[in-house]
Parts: sequence; C-alpha cells; structure tokens
Amino acid sequence: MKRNYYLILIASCFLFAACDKKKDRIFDESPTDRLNTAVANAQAVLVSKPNGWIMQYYAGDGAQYGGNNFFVNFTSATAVNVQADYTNTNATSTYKVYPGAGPILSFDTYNPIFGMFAAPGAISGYVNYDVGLGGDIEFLVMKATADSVILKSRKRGNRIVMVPMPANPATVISTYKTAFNTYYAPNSYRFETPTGNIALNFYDYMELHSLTDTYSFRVTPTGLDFYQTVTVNGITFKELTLMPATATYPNGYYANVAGTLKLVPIF
Amino acid sequence: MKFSKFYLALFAGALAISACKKEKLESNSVFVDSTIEKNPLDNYIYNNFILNYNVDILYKYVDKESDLNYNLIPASYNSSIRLTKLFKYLGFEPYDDVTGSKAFIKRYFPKLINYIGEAAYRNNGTKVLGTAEGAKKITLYEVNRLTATTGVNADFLTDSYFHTIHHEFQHILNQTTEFPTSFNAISGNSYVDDVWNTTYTSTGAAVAAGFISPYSSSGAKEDFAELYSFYITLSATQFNALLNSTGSTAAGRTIINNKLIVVKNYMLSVWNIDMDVLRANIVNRKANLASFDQTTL
Ligand SMILES: [Zn+2]
Repeated sequence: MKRNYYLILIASCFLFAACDKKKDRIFDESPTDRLNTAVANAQAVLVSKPNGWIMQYYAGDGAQYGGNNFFVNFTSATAVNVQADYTNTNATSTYKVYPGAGPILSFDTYNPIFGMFAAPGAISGYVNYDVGLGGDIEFLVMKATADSVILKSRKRGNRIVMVPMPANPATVISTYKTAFNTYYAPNSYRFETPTGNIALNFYDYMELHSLTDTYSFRVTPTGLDFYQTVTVNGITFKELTLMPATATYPNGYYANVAGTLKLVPIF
Repeated sequence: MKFSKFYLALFAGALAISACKKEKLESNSVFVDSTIEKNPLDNYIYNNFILNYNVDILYKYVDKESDLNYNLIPASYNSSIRLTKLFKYLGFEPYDDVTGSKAFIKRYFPKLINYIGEAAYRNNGTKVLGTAEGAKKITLYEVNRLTATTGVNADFLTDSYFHTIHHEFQHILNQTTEFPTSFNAISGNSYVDDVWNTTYTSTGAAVAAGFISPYSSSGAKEDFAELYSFYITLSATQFNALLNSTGSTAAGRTIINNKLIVVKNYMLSVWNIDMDVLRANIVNRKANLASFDQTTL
C-alpha cells in the first residue's frame, strides 16, 4: 500500500519537477520540513551525551505509580542502553524518533526496564489484569536542548524530564540505587507536622498513600523529588531532604527546607 | 542506504510539487525516514521476506499499526529473530514445497506481519493471541515467550503462533475464492456466535457437538479455518487425540469428518494443495526443529 503510494507520488514528482521557482521559500515555511527538523534535532540531542541521560519516569494515570530514575544512553541512531534505580538489570534495546504530533521518541523493541511498567498486569503482576502500571514506551518530545529533554508520555500524558548524566555514570547510578534501597527499606512511613501526624502506606507499586492522597516522587541521592508540589497539613513542598539519624529518629527522616514537615520511616 | 536516498529524493520532489501548486504540505506528507540504520534482522527480513515474498515484518513497535485499545509491549529483538526464522521455516516453506514455488505465498499471504511482545489483555480476563485485518496484515502476540527452550517445543510453537497463522491465512484464501456453501449446511444453525466460550468449555464438549474447538462453533468461516489449521499443524496422532478428547462422541466426530472432507476438497480443487501432503511436510519440519538454526542471521 505504502509502497504504491510512494510510487505514484514519485511519478507525479517528475511531472511537476520542472516547475520549482518558489521552492526555497516554500521549503522554509513547510510544516513538514519544520517537523523533520524537529525530529532531526531531537535525535541529535539524544545521542549528543556520551554518558546518556537521567530520565524521571512516571507511570499510570496522573503519574500515580512512580517515580523512578531510568539511566538511558542512546549509543547509536537506533541502540539504547537502559538501567534504572529499581533493578540491577542493564538492557540494550532499540529506539526511534519519528514524526507525529511532534517528534515522538519510541522505545520500539522490548526493554525489561520499561517492560515492568508497560506490560499488562497479567504479565507484570501489578494492579489489574489489562492495564497494569500503565507505563508508556512512547513520548512526545516537547523540548530537546543540551541541558534537558522534556517529554510527555503518549497514553497517560505524564511529564517526563531527562537531564544529562554527569561524569562517572557508574558511580552516579550506584548512588541512586543506594538512595532507592534506603527509601524502600522501611515497612511504611508517616508525615509528622506541628498540627498532627498522617499515617501512610505503600500501595501497588510502593507509592505512598494516605487515606485521601497519593504521593508520587523519585528517590534522589539527596532525598525525594515529588512529581508536583504537594501540600500536607498546610505545608507546601516539592522536595524533601534525607536527614541523618538522631536520638529521636534513629533511622533518620526526610524533611522540608523549613524543617516543619518530616517524613519518618517506620520499620 | 538505498532507502534513505530514495526518500530524500522523494522529499525534494514532493516539495517541488507543493511549490507548483502553491499549497502547504499536509502533515501526512512524506517524511524523511529517520531509521535508516539497518541491523542484521532488518537485512534478513529484506532479503528473505520482502524480496522473496513481498511480505514485510514489523518487529519494532509501530504505534499506528498496533491496537491502541490495549496496553501492548514491544517484541524483543532476540525473540523476533527466532520467530522470523521460524515463520519462514514453519509458515512459508511448507507452502513453497507443496506448490513448487514461492509464488503462492507471495500472491496471497498478507503483506504485513506485526509482532507484539505479550498478548493483548482484556479486563475480563481473556486475551488476544492473533488478529488479521482483511487480507493485509497479521498481528502475532506473545512473541517474547519465544526462547531457546520454547523455540524447540513444537506444540508450543503451534499453539502460540502457527495455528493462528494458518487459520488467518485460510480466511484470506476464502476471501479470494469462497468455500462451497454445502459446508455451512453441515452444522446448520448450531453455530453460537459470541457465546462460544461459554457454550463449550472444553474441546470434548465442542467435538461432541461437531466442532473441532470451542471457537469453531462461533461461525462457519471460523469453523472452516479451525478445521484447516488444526488438521495441517497436528500429526494424525495428535489430531485423533483431539477428536477423542474427554466428553467427545462418535456422532460429533462424524460431523467433523464430514466437514473436513469439504475443507480438503476445497483446498485440492481450488488451490491444488493436498492437505495431507502439506501436513506431512509441516509435521516433518516440526520433528526436525532441534536441528533448525533459529538464531543465526
Ligand atoms: Zn478466524
């Protein structure tokens, strides 16, 4: 089908090829050309980092499952190596950037690190039989520059940011994994604020739930970075910092900058 | 390489057209193909499937070719290599052998084969293992289940992929030349449409009613394709075991055998394919699976 279409097109190209007076002006304005340029730019930015990128990955409707840090290195025009904070798996698969509503980044052969989030629940064992964690494998590239790539996951619409991996990726990745394991070691957590405490629980994918709210965030080497700004008992924050153990908190805790809110591990 | 230059030339040509017509290009106009880097599997598919059979295999996930109603994950590269090599070995070459050339598959087989890593799951607990869209495309699911172990398990390969492939192919042959209406009369009004999986919950119960599988009872076209596919992909021993499943009856077996004669006659008279010769070829290939190289490209 496609091939025939191209053949017809190329035939008509020859018919019209003689007439090309205003080709250059049209070339500059063509939306097709703009999209092709955006695709080429996104592709070039992705492969421009020899250490790859740290991808802030959120799955599910409203980014409810997450987040995680994926360490994504685009090593050629089609090959991508993926690691993550939640696993020791290191897997190479393929990707492409193709034109759609804008450039679309597609991880187009199976990679187990995306697979756990993208697989139906029947395969991953999470949530429900059909959707599972609802992780995307295709992303609309909203912005691609040397210092960050902003993606929007295609099915769930989650904002997913990629920042360049600093030097010594092996060390950085190991730091992230340690932070991740530290965070997930307790059985649960609670918020402590001057106006009262709030009990929390890990749910399906160990994201934190209170009775009324779900909290999505990534674990970073310095603490927790939330998907969006949250307000707990009137205290608003986007990040919490991991604080060392004290006599009162022998397992340490995560706190906001003002020190008015603590996220305390319960073992 | 050839492709990228071709597309680039085409793109320039397309722009020339738009200049003449003073129109803006639509967003569905021709785009530069950004995946010009061909890997060994791409080359294998080009040399063995596109050149020989005019059939393309999409092993990489392509959004617009996939069913967006489901959460789907891509096929893995390694499983795709296995399935692609096995597709040729168990899917195409038996027909080449029996008809004497590649022309039969080239002319009638769907032009696009789409691989998906796992099944498409519905929230009611059922899953989709294969689909065909008209005569154009076949989609195969659970490709990632194909491993070094399952790859030499002939029953697994039949159940997971090749039963579907031959079943769908039969539909396409039927669309080209319809099977005789005498077939429809045999089970008459006992087809049950959508409630096949609740009407017959075992093979034996289906056989007792004159159907080779519960799904066969959904309609005459499905029945025809099921009979064909079960017959040619199973050995005589396996097929007889199916006919004698627990709960089956002699009366049911008679109905099935009467229908089978119509299927065989159709294949022989319309397509000049002797189903017993085709079955022998496939059964022999299955027996030699262990010595078939499914990883080298
Ligand atoms: Zn069918």
